[in-house]
Amino acid sequence: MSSRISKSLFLLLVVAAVVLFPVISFAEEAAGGSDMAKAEQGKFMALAAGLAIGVAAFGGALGQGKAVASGLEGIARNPSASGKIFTPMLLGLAFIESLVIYALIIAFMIKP
Amino acid sequence: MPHGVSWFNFLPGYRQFEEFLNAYLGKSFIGKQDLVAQHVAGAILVFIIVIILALLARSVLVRNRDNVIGDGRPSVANFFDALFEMLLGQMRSVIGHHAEEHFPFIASIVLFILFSNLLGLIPGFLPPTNNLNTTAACAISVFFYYHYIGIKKNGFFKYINHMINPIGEWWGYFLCWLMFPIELIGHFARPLSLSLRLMGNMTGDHAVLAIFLGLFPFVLPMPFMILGLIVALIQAFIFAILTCVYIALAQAHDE
Repeated sequence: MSSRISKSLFLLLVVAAVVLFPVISFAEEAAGGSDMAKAEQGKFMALAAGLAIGVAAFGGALGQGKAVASGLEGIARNPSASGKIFTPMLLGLAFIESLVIYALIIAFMIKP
Repeated sequence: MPHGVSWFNFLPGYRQFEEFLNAYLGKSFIGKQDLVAQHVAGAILVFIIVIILALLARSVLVRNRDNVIGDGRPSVANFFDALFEMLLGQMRSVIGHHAEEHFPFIASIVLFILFSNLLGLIPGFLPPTNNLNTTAACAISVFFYYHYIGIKKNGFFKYINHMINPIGEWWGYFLCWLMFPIELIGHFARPLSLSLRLMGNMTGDHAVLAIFLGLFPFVLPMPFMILGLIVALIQAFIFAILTCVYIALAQAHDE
């Protein structure tokens, strides 16, 4: 009884080792191949990517909020002009958003 | 479905198509990256879809040629009617008169971009506009088109003259050393911003969708799907409006 359990446990361990061995060995290889300076660089690159999109999204959101607020105010005051206000507002939003998108592209390009 | 695998991989002959692209076309012109056959195949699929829809709409229109009010059934022709009505209205409000002569160019680019963006919403397909090469192709054709229109409407020297002296007064020529480089940079920034905006929007949208599909692929991605639908429509619309603005700015010098 006990030997059967230990046998199945052994089998399970063997299967787990076979499945997990490539993962562990690759992880070791990746960790062993990079020296201290590269890890330091990667850390700052990750920070830079996050900061780039974060700061850009902050400014872009403020600008878009201002644009949409005044656009909606104009539409609320004069609902018949909504068609004429909506298109330039959308254009302005696109221009503001394109700057955020540039930051997003840069954040994608920085790969630690 | 792992990354880099799409429904195209189940097509017979797709592997040969990919190998053909990589062997004979080499690196891409922009970015010097390996060609992604998915985007090329996606663009071809979009062409096929648009051509089939256009033929369907044409058959409906031919069937109803003698009717005054149509047959009252919803059809592809109604869809194109509504889409082009809206597009032409926007073009008229931006370009003014002569908007109709630019309609074939803008409408074909918008149809291509719209259907490519919408293709990305189907799980297992990448939008062809995900790649900078696709969007740069559209943006560069817009660049050449609006310069062509500007030169055709104003004449070459008047068009260049307006670039050198946008103010129009005699003293404006004293500022040409300042104005001409700025105008030049502005003109070259236009296709850059057009292509980068479209590519970045679709890439970001797709990345968000992919992350949430990976988290929990059942109900959770629904809001992001809707967001992706809105982004796809708005970006195609923005591309059209900006093209209209550039054309209007290029040909408005004669007034």
